[in-house]
This record gives sequence, C-alpha cells and structure tokens, in this order.
Amino acid sequence: MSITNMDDQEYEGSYVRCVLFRLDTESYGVNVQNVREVLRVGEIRPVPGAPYDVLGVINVRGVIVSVLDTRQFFKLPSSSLTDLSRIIIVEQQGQALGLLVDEVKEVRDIQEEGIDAISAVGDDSSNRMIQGVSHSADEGVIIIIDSMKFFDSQPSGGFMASPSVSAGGDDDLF
Amino acid sequence: MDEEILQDFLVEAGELYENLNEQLVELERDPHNADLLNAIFRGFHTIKGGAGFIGVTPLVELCHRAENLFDKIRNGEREYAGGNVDVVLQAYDVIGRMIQALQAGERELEAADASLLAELDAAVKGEMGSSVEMDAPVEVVTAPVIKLALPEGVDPDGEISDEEFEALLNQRDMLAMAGQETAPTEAPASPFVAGLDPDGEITDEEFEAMLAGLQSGKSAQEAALDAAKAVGVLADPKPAAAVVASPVMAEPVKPVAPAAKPAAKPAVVAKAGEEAESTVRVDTKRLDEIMNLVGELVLVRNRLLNLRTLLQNEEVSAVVANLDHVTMDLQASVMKTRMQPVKKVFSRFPRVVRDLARKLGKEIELELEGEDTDLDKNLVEALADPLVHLVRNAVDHGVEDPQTRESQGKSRVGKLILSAQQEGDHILLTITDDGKGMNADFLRQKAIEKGLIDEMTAAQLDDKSAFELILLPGFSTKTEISDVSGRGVGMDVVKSTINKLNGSIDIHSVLGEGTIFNIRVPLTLAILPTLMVGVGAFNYAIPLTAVQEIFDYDASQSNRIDGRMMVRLRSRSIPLYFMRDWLSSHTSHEPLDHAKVVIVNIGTVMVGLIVDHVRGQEEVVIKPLGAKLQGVQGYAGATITGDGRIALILDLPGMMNRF
Repeated sequence: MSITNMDDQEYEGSYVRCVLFRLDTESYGVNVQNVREVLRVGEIRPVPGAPYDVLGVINVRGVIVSVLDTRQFFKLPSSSLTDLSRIIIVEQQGQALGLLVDEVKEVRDIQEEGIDAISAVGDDSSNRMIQGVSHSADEGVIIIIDSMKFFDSQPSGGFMASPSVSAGGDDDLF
Repeated sequence: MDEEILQDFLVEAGELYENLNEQLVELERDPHNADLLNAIFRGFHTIKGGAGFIGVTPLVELCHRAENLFDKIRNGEREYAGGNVDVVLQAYDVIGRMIQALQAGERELEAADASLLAELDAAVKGEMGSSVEMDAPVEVVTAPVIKLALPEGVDPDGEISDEEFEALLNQRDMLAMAGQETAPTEAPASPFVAGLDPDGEITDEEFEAMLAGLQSGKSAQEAALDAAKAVGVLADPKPAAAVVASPVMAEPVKPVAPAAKPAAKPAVVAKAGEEAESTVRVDTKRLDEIMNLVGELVLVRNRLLNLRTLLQNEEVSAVVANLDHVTMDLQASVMKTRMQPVKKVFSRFPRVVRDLARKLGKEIELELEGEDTDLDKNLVEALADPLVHLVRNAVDHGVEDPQTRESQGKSRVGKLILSAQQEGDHILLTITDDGKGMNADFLRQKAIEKGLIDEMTAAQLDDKSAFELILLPGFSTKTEISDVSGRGVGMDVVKSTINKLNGSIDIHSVLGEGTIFNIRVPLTLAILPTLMVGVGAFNYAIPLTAVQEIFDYDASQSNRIDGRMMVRLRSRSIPLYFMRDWLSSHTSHEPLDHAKVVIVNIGTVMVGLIVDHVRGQEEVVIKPLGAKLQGVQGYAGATITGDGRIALILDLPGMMNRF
C-alpha cells in the first residue's frame, strides 16, 4: 500500500482523497474522511440471528464493532478470507462499522470532476451505495461508494437468505 | 437561545421542580412552616429567573404568579389551603410539562391556560383591598426586576452587557438599602463584583445568583454568597472565578460581610467557601465515559489475572494482585459518582398518593424510609415508572376506603410504606400496604377465566405463585378500566422493566392484612454478574439473576411430551431447550456427554437450557452490539471476556420471543 504523492499528479479543481480497496476484481474507493482505520482480519464473532449481511462482531480495543459482508452488498459471490483480506472501519457520528474487503490498495486523490454520477438502476442496496465512478489509467474503473449509506441500509433480500463466508449457518431456526 | 445555557437551566429547573414537589406536599401538612414557604418561594422564583434569562415567557408568567402567591402566603396574607392548594398544584404540573417540553427539544412553548393564570391572579389578589399598602415593599422588589429579567435579560447571545449589569447592581443596592436599614450606603457590592468579574461578563449562574439575591430582597451579603457559591460550583477556569473559588475566596466577599453585620460573620463566609468547593456538577456523559474506561480496565485486569495463572511468576503475581485491588477500588469509587439517592424517585410519591387518595375518597398516609439509599443514576430513572405503577396499584386496589376499614376494625387511615435499603450488592425496595390483601383463590379463578392457565395448573399453584399471576400479561383483575390503574400497561410491564434491570420482584400478601411487594435490583447497571456458558465454539453470558440451578444433562431423565423436551425437577415439569439449536451453526442435535442443564427464570416461567459447557461466573461490562445489530432480539449486548474474545450476553425473554 502506498500513499500517492500529491506532487506527482497535476490537479485542477478539488479532489477527494479515497481509500482504494478491492472486492473480487473490482476497485472501489471510499472517502478517507469516513475511514477511521484499516485492520487485519482477526476473529469475527458471528451473532446468530443477525441480518445476513452482518458477518459478526469484532473487538476493536474494547469496543464492539459490527463487520459487514461487503461482497453481499455488491452482489458478488462469497469467498474465503485470504492474507490480503482487511476490515475497513468506517465511522459516522461516533458509530463504527467494519467493511470486510478482499484487499486494501492505497490512498489516492481522485478528482471530483472526474467522478461520473451513475444513474441508479433499480432500487437495490448496491446501487444506493454508489456515489459515482472514476476512471484511472492503472485501476480502470473505480467505484466510489458512500460509506455512510451502509449504516442505515436495509439488506436487500430476506433474513433467511443464505449467508456467505461464516455467519451462523443455522439462522433459519430463529 | 443559547443551547448550553438552556441545558444548564433545565438541569437546575428540573432539580428545583423535584424539590418543589416534596415541599408542596409537606406544606400541606404544615401550612405555616416559614422555612418551607421561603424555600418554595425561592424555588418558583429561581425557575422564573432562569426562564426569563433564556426567554421562555410562558414559564416566566406562570412562575411569577406562583411566586407572588407564595410571597403573600409567607407574609401571612393568604392561606395555603383549599382552592389555593389546587391552583398551585395545577400551576406546578403545568410548569413540569413546560420543563419536559423544553427537555424534549421544543423551543416554542404555548402559553399556559388563560384560566389557570387568571385563577392564580385571583388567588394572589384574593381579598387584597386595604392590604395594598402593606404589600408595597414587596411589589417594589418584584416589579422592577421582572422588567429587567425579561426584556433585557433575554439577551440573544446569552450575555449581559456592562450597562445591564450596572443597572442590576444599582437596583440591588437600592433594594439592599430599602430592605435592610443596616446595609451601609456605601454600596458593598463593588469589591465583590470587581473581584468576580474584571472582564465585564458574567455567567448565567452568577447572574442568577445575583437575581436571586435581588429579587428575594436578601441582604447584599447573602447575594454575594450565592454568587460565590455558584462560581465555586462551576469551578470555572476563568481567572476571575478561580480567585473566588480558591481558598482565599473569602477575601473578596469579606468586605461585604462585615459591612452588613460587623461581627461573627467571617467564619460563616469561610464555611460557605469550603462548601462551594466540595461539589462539582459534571455531565453524566462524562461519567459514563469514565465508567466505560474503568470497564476496559477491569477487562484488562481480568486478562492479566488469566495470564498470571499461566505465568506462575511470583513477582508478576504480586503486581497483578496489586492492580486487582486498585482496579476494584477504582471501580467502586467511580460507581459511587454515579449514585443518586433514591429520594429522587421517592419524592414524587407524596403527591401521587395524595392526588389519588383524594380522587378515590381514601385516606392514606405515606411513609418513606431509606430515602438516602444510593443507587445508580440510570436505575433511579428506570425505576420511577414501575414504582409509580405499584404505588398507584396499592392505593387503588390495596387500601380500602375509610368506611370499609372502620367496619373491619382497622384505622380509617390506610398506611403505605415505601422503603429502600441496601442488601449486599442489591437494593431492596418494598412497597407495603395495610389494605385488603390479595385473594389467592380469586386470582387463580381469574387466571383460568382469562385462559392464562388451566385448572390443573391453577390447583398446583401455591398461594405465593398465585399472587405472581398478576404479573402475567393480560391479567387485570379490574373488570372496568379506570384511569388510575389497569390501563392496559399492567403489572407485566412492571415485571418486564424490573427484569430488564436484572432485578426481581416478589409478592407477599395476607388476606385482610395487606400486601408487600419486594423489588430487588442490582446497585449498578454497568457491570453485570453472569454465568458464562459455552455453546459450540463460542461463549455466551447468561445474567446470573435469572439462573436458578445447574445440573448435568441426562438424556434418560428427560422425556418428550408433545414433541417438546421436558425434564422433571422436584415434581415440576420444565421445558428443555438445546442452546445449540438456537445459537450454533452445527446441526448436530446430540448434546455432548458432559452437557449441562441451566435452569433459568424467564419472566414467570422456568425453562432449562442445555449448554455444552458451564465456564463459571464472571462479572462483565455490558457493551452495546455494533451498528446494525441493535434490533436483533435475544441479546442484551456483548462483552469482552478475560481471554480477549467476545461473548454475547443473552437476553432470555427476547430469546424466548423469537421462538
């Protein structure tokens, strides 16, 4: 992970500093202002009966933080954890939420003008998360997401939908 | 409106309001108690001052009238009796609603009912007539100050200018002269004011104290003391305030004191200075933060204690033992800062009982015991509703009307005792009445009629269990709904509230002699004693108050009735649940060989939970589950165990609800 030196690039207008991460093969960016920290994946404690997109909770220095299955949100196939997997802790009004991602790449400044709004198709959760897309030479399309939306979004689909990764498998008993 | 000043005002007004409650009821018993009358007068007065300062006119109008009325009463021109009592209590209630509305975030209050204001005015005027002349000095005291407090005091930025302050001072000096001949013409306030406030700004506390001194026509010295006290309480880091609050604080005040009464006073002033320093008002949020951090420390200590046994190093052991002690003391000390006397809840009951007894035509004497017992602030608040319900119930259903009582050879006046006492790490609250008691057979019959239990079960219930039937949802013995009790929110709500606080409730009753409700709640809500159990690969914490007993699971001892697992325990059939079914991702229903049955009380029913392991007792700090999990039923929160892992704390009633 490297922090891009601002001087290397030429800027016109304002820019957004983003944490770039990878889910499956796609690149995503989330405003660094909303990111508190990035953690390696430790033990995620499943919470039986939780909404299916919540993998469980982790202990961040004494505070219990929920971890979202970010892949679920973007309708990506589930996968197992790797050495590159990270949890991005995003914050909103003192509340924290962990986003499990496949890899955290770098912090990069993205020109605001270069972000194209996308017309939302349908009403599913993944669309509502997306602020816009930016194109870059090396990463291709970067999907800029609004991490705040994670806090109040209701997962699409029902409670009984099959959980990915490791959330409690017997949830249908609840 | 400055939000901070408003919040300060609300805190203060809330306290005054609560005190007034008690004082008003007390006054009814002792309508000529001068101290009480003065205290009430000051109470209304101070609320008015603050309300004026933040510009809440409806509140000012009301308090002003109440204050005027009490001024007359304390001067012996009116009696606190009959219609006056009613109108004052009405005004009091409206004031309470206004404060509540402000607390709830409303900023534009509706003016109080015109008829109420008119009634108050009438009460103030009463048979005034010739006594106008007599009132004159009082009118001088209040009238100009009102003007001040209102148009000028309502400064949009919450500060008052030098001019205004000067004007206030002048008025005060004038009053001091008018009110007390002994006060010297040399305005004694100036040294005090200079010491207090070189920058020409005064805080609202100071201002209020000045006002209080002013309006009640107190001597300059008293006003100075009040202001000094306010500053001391504030512990404002401002240099000016620091001077006042420091041990030498008597200095700037002193010149005033001897002026007013040459001898004997300095000692009193010094004493007031000490008092002022002994308390600090702290935002409860800050206390919660500290409590949280202490909680963290407790967890770290727990982990160290675990490590100590692994390390087997004597030096480490000694240090850890030391840390253990310090942490325990710290925990206890911090807990104490959150404690409040139960008086805070109790103080409302004289009024509740009085009003209700009047309405129902009963005569009831309420006795409060152990009002100074301390308990956690949150608990004090959470207990208010259940206690009100129980007390209303006791007045409504418990105590008989005077005629019935007399015909049964009891005294006309029923007795209701509300008491609190500490019992180890619990608080025991009891509500005792000497009323008609409960009829166990009647309750059994009623429960059967309502379809809550069948006749078989009813017959098996002993009297004590029969009394507990009233705690079931849907059980209300009154066939007609009165607005007193039995409004749908019944005893089951009381029960569930108490359960939520990890408390318990039990009932004793003797037919014809009375009923006793015993409520036990833990001293604090922050730390919860639990039984840690293992299910699958994870640990869960069961609140210890719910746990009845633990025994080894023996498949041969349990049987299946209607597809439900049951176990017989001392001739009672108790349903069994496999926690694995609820909580584990493994579908194996075969419990481990060493599985245990934990018998728990959920509401009024007993169930057995089959767990894989019983890890032991552990005191845990309750932490909220993370975002998006707040609504998940079945958990009271989570905690971090001694080994640093997360254990979910089960909320058994919620868990049961999900099945």
